[in-house]
Amino acid sequence: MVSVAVARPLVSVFSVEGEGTEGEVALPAVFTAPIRSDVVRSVHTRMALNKRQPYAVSTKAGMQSSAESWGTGRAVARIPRVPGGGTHRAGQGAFGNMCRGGRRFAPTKIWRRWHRKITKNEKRYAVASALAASALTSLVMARGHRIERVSEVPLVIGDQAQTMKKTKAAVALLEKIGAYEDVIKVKESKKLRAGKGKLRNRRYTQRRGPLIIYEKDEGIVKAFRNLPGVELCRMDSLNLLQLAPGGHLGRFCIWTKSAFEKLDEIFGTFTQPSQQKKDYTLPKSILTNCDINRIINSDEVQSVLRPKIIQKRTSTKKKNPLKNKNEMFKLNPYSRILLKEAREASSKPSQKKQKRLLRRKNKEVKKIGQEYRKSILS
Amino acid sequence: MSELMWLLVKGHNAFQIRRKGVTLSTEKGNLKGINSFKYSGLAQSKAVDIQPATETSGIAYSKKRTKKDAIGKPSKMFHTKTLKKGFPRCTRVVLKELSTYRPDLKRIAIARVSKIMAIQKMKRLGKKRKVKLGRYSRSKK
Repeated sequence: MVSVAVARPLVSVFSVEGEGTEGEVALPAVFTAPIRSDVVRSVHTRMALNKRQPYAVSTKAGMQSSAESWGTGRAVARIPRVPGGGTHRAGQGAFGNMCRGGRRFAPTKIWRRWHRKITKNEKRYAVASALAASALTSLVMARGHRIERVSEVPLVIGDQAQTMKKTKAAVALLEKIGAYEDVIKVKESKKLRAGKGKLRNRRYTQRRGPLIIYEKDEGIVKAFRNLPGVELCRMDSLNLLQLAPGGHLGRFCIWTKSAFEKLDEIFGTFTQPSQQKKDYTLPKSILTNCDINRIINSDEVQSVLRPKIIQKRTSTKKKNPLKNKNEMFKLNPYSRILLKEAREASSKPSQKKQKRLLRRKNKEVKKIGQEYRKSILS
Repeated sequence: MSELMWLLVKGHNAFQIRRKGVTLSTEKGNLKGINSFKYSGLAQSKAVDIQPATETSGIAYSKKRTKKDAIGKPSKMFHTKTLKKGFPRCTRVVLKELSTYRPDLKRIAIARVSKIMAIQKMKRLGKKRKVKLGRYSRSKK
């Protein structure tokens, strides 16, 4: 099979210092990887588990007593009871999950299965999918990012951004490229967290803003990191938890030029394996064209389809000639005239017609009178 | 692409509003506000948006661009123009545009223009819209 050279679309690089663009770069092949929301979701849920720390109640909790059951015959429940006397505790139930001061039911253990193994290939698939989704305007919008003023998605900016030092300059840059609305959205979304999380160092919740992906940190991290919702990520350590927060596709990503160009090196293309991941080539879509209308209406499909079968109606519904006039006319053509006569006989002339007739009559009477008058006078 | 997009977006997205068993959608380009493939402004490559231009007059008519150089450019996603003439002229423009672009949306587009204009007229005259009472509340009175 002859490989077809597909022209990859170009993405413009937005200038950091000046206005407008400063050149173009080819779209890396990852952005055309298949978008599999199911893979992303399942990998995300498993990855999110891997950050957990084990916790458990003390193994001794509720069990530090030499309590024994009193047995039957004392008219009390056969639960183990604390021995001795002289304190309130003596004679109280112990151990059971229903007892005050007893052990809880099925006490939590530190050997719970906290972490999940994830196949490397699956993880890479998910990251490729998430990246591909981040290049589609509709999906980024559907995730809730405010990108109405952004000129292009994926958004690539010049490498001078990496040397930025001041947050003030960072804000100005985001404003220029139309991405600051997304930061404002985050700022306004800050709310007190519902529930106990408030007490556990997770006091506030807020949305996620743009993710800035750079190749080399020469100040960019410090310049951007204090902006609400803005996250930064080094090119070499792309993380699904950042690329698809909550397992939802379409994070708004801002790339520096060198980071963007490195994507082909890291993920490879559909024909060339990756340079950094061993024996890795990008997953391919099974369906090359997902425009169903286009497939159905294509010449290839239409030419092999048989023409539409139009069923002829074999029987007609019988209609009642006494109710249906047309049916009656068919059976008895004279009924039309009969009907007309009957209608004329029963109908009175309209008011207008009556008036007209009356006027004509009056005119005639008047005329006769005039003629009579003339005959007398002459 | 639109079929795939719909599959990704239909379950949940930032524009969806689910309340009392009803799912509505608020994205630009959704004429009916309904969460369906036909009316989705996100999934459809051709979508139309009709909004009041100002509170009292004018219709902002926007159409999703389909040209290749507009794809992937959020700021150029919609082409908007303002229709300032009366109802017959506005609808003529809308119908003409839609007859080649999205003929299936003609009826609902006209309905939307008419509704918006009616409300704008009320606002111009400083009147309030009559609230239709349901059968239940009428019987209560």
